[in-house]
Amino acid sequence: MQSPPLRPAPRRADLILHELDGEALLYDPMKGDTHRVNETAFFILHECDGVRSTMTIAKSLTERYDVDLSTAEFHVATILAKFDRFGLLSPSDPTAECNPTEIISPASER
Amino acid sequence: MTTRSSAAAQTIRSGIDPCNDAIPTLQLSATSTLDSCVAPKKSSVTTDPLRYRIGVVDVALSSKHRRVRREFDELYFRNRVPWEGEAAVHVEVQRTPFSFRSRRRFEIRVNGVLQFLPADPAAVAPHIEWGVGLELPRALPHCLQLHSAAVELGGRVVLFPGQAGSGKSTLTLGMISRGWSYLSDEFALIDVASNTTLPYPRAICLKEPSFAVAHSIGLQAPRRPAYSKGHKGMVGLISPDEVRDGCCSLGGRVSHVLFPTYIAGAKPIVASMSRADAAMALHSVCFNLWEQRADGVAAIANLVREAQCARLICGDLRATCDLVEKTIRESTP
Repeated sequence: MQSPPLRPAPRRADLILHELDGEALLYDPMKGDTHRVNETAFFILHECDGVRSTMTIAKSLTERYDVDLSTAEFHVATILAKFDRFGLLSPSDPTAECNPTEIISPASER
Repeated sequence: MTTRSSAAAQTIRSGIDPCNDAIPTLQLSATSTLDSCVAPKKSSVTTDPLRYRIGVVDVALSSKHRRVRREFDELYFRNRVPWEGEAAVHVEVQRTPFSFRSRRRFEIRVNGVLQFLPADPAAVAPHIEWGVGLELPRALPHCLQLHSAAVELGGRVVLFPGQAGSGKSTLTLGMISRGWSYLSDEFALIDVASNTTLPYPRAICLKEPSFAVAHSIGLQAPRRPAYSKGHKGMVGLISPDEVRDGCCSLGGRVSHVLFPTYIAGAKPIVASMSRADAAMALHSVCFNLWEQRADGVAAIANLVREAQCARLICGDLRATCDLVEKTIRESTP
């Protein structure tokens, strides 16, 4: 699997989300597609604001769910790849990954 | 005035309810149709369109073929209405010209567009029904059209969405026979703005094996399978009033969505499902989501938020109906 961007692009502003008991129905008005988003994917999508790094999102996931950091990192990477495949994130800013303030190593996080 | 008095005269002669006196044009055609059943004289055959209001759907049928008119009218004569302007769905049925090279067929046009060309006369009525269904998204653009049956008990509407063969129609027939009200069989119409189910009490389409099931629980479904529906084989079209007179409902808000799956010999079970699962399942049986777009998805989300959603394994019809009724009665409104 391709390594995820260190700072994921923000979720597209035009997506229409309908929350259903923690999960969500997501409508993409541009493509006319509907996606079912489970609870953790919905959480990760919410965290994709263009500011939070992948590691920050993974850490938030560990705080909210009973999961260790490496598993959380894997899940975040998997979900971000899916978001990217379905075009749910805004076109990424090429400078984003070079922003030194956002690069946080897993070691320093721990 | 001349038309009105001739209509009244015909009404008295044919014994139709005098309240139809106020139906000038239609009265003539309706009377002619009934006459043609009794005395099939070619000169009495009319080509005036027959006009019906099937729930919220206005349907007109034009055909000079007595069998086509008679079969449709037998199913919907209770729904006849006066002729007022264009119907939302106008079905025209005519035969293709005689030719030595090809078999004559029935052209079924819906709102001017050729939809079906069945050769078998027994296939015409089910294809008219299907043609009307195809036109519903255009005729009722404010409605979400789901592949679902809908019944009602005490103001609580229950949807049975599912693909062909899931047991929707048989279950619907079973529920009506137990005193439930009928909204629709094949196409459930959900008003997007108010999120209510609108009535479209079309004839219930039962496949041949389901007839034995219906008879086995004492349902009054007298007609044998008489219509051909292509690869689905022979089907019977049953007017809901044949099952129980006056069983049609005016609609209401959906309280339950039960996704049926028929498994022969299975013990009926209601299994809970998440609202997101239910939303996706409804999405997969929605005929016009592409036209409704964001509003349609919002309507589906609202529907599953308000309703209790579950999967329903159907087996023996009586036991399944018992289970559905128990589930609805025991749930909090």
